[in-house]
Amino acid sequence: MSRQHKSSTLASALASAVLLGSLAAGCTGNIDQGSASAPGSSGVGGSGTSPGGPGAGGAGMSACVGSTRLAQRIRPLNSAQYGNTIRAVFPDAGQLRSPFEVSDRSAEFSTNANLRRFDFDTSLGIMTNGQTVAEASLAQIKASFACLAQSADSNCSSELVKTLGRSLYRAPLSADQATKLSNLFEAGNKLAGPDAAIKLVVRALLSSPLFLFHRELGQPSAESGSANLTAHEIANAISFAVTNAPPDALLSQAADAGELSTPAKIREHALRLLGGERGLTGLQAFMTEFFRTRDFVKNDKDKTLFPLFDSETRSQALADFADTIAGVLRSSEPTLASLLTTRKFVVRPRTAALLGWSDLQNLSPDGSTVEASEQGRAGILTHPVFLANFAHANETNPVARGHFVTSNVLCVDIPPPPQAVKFPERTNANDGSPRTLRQVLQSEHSMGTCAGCHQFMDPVGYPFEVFDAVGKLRSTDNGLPIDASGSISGAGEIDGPVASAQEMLGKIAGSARAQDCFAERVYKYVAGVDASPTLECSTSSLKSRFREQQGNVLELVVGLLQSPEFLAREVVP
Amino acid sequence: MALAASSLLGGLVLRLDREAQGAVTSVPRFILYNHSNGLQNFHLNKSAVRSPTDFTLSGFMTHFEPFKQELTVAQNLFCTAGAHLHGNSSSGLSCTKRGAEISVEGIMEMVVGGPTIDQWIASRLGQSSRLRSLVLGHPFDVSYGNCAQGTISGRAKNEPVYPTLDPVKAHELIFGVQNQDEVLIQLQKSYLDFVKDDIQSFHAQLPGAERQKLEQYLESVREIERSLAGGVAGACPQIGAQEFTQKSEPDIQGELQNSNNPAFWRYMCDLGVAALQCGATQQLSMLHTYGCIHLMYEFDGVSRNHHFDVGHKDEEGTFMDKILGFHAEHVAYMYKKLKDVPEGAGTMADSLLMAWMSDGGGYHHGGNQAHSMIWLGKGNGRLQTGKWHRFVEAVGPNPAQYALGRAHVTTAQALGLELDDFGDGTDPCNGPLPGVLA
Repeated sequence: MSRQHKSSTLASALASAVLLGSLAAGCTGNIDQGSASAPGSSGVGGSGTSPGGPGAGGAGMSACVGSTRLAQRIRPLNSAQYGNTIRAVFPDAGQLRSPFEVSDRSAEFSTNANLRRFDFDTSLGIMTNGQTVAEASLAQIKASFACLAQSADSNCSSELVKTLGRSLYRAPLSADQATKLSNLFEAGNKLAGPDAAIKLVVRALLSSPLFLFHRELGQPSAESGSANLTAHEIANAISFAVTNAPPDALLSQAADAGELSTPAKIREHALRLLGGERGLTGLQAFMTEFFRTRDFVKNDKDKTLFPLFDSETRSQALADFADTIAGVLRSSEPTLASLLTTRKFVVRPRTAALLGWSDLQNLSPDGSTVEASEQGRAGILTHPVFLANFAHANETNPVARGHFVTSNVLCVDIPPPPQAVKFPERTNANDGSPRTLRQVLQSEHSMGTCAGCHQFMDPVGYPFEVFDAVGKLRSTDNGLPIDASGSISGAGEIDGPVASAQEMLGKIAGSARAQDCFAERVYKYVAGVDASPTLECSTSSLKSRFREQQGNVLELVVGLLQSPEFLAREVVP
Repeated sequence: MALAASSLLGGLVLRLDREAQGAVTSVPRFILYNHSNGLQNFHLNKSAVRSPTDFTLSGFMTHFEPFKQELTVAQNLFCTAGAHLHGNSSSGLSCTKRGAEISVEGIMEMVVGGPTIDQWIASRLGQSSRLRSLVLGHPFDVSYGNCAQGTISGRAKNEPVYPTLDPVKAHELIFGVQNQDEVLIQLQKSYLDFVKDDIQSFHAQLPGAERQKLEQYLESVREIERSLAGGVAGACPQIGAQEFTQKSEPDIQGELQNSNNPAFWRYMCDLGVAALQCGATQQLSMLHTYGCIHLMYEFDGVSRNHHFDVGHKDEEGTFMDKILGFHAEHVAYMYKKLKDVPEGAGTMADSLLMAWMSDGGGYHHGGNQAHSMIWLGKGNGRLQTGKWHRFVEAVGPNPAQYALGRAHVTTAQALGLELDDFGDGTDPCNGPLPGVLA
């Protein structure tokens, strides 16, 4: 293994992670005959075909029917955006609750515009945070607005509400909004003095829907039934997509000056932010949700079998995972293919120990970039975080690993498990001889209706069997040699047998299908949408561009932000 | 623990307004109790039912022995939605409280597609209550696959009602927070008035479909306002702080996501009973769990994963027997507490109706077209209690006669509410279940 120190760490971006649990465990019951007997395509385009078979609807055969534009809407901040926006304005905000934590997890992506709970608990959390921030930031605010010491200075209080409002609402206040906030300040001042008035205004701002929601309402355009996002709405979209935080000063100034009306200007600011210190934070947030690693640090394993897989190791591995992704995105080839095939892994000491990479010495506690030489270790899907995340506590889970790749990387729809499903227990063969887990699963899942779905998942998971439940390379399972061969089905152009994980990931990495699928996932995250009948229309241009740009992930995001499909909204009554 | 509303109010004191106690008129009250993985026939059938009025309670049902004459059991209530998507309980879950519902915008995965029976009842009973509805729950990991919406209660399509999971917040919601500082009261009023006005102003600027995103926020702000106003009218029991209320909210959520804590749930049940007793609400939903949860009952020896290991594999029923016993104990416990409260010439149980339901009748992925419902309480005499109805097995000759929607109609009519059918019409349900109402 060769080694070099990496230049930066993005570990914090993935510090709070969630595990979505095993996806598909197995089945022994009856699959509904007919419609669900085979998985279908989610509408991902591509160049291959499997007429009449699973996935036939994808591979370029889906028709685009419907509008390419999103509707006018408001979109709630997710937990990270909420916290980042508060801290961008109030660095001394104090310890905040996460009022959206539950609803963040209630959709595929936390940015989804339609799934957010504003129930009693959430609203109380918002209000409590407002109180916390107001108390903690009072000194900071008073220092910035020294004129408030003159309690009768209404110009000063007016300036206060406009400044704070501009930052928290992420757009200039209207005259009516400014007046209402100034009146609130005056009411508080009369009741209990300027300190109470400041806190009252801060609490009000942090409870306002103008703070809690992204606005994507636009202004009427020349085209009938269409509205173009305003400059401030565009600035907001750029900033949260790229940095997961509100616009910085330059972007805000550009919005104020009306300079974001051209794709070139949007591109200029998106690239500027991507090149900056926080530039990959938005993409890292996407990766965390895409790979379902939010709760990885809680993913405990059998301590007898995997004593090194403790919480500190998990934390280091998760930081490695984030840094490895960042390394690809910062490289000269920030492509999906690189992500799926890279051999450059950022490694910290505990991760190296977990993987048995004893030849690595003097690793930096902040991670060192190494060139993996292990057979089969190539790409982010061979990272221990992914492999351990999709594994049982005491053994691997090729079904879950295969399910993730099939459904999330290749966008082949797999129906949910059927009735009375049982996960096969590891048992010996009828003659008493031991079996590998693969042999057990093949025995259970190749029969009857189980094969209907498992033929698409399990053979994609089998090549990962060379990695154990924490991602360490192994050569045997239950004392028997590992069979690392597998096959891809239902994905059109790349269907067919593979000899190893490396070969399989190479095929996937170079496929139009994976590129289309990834583009669709990024769109769903950035645009905050879920599966819908119009998704194919909304993403067809994006997918084409992504393929033309050889799967450049950064260009994908920038292109999306520039696209007319994103910048114009359907006017709704 | 940093108390939510008290910290919100900056040092205000949480106070139970015991001086506000007063006479409570006899009013109908409804409790919906839900847990996951089924009121399974396998376990219900342990009780010998010789005729609707001649039955012997066995297994978990023995918890109801003291109330046998106030008990009504209905088995094999048919629900088409439960058979959808391979009988996956999570696929038809929200619909079990809707009667039936095949499709919600093409998908059917725990998305509330219309008013659920508890919220429909709340909208009728709760119009004059401080809290139209009180929904309490147990934290569990909602991140698994189909647990899309995080609740199975809803006022209307896309208007979910989420359970309150924090016992301290629940306490404040029921008993309120009394503000003893007039200046702080005025500041608080200014703040809440501003927030409400702000939401309403923004609401008016939005396209119609987007407005509902703010409506739930506005409603919850109003609920907070009411809870801060405090004041309870009934004879309130003393509900003291429990050990887990001394912990931070994230700790509580984290600890409870994977394992049931009997002390926690008992306390939530106490709070729910107190809310009814004190007149804070007339409709209570106790959503312990639902669907695809991973919760374990380690205190009772159920250390296997509730979803995969119990929901999928508990062929002998060993674990579900304990789980059902736990819930039967709590249903009976709540009922007894209200039965012990004098009201008018009788007790609060006289006007109470308590409905215990689950996600289905079978496993996580099976048997969910055959539900069961257990009622406790006389509903002011509208229910023929002391009866056990075993309707024809799952897909009998005429399932329309015992569609789940009819059970919901029965519940509503037993509370004196006008309702002839419920649900989206997938399962015909004109009128109540035969032979259940007096």
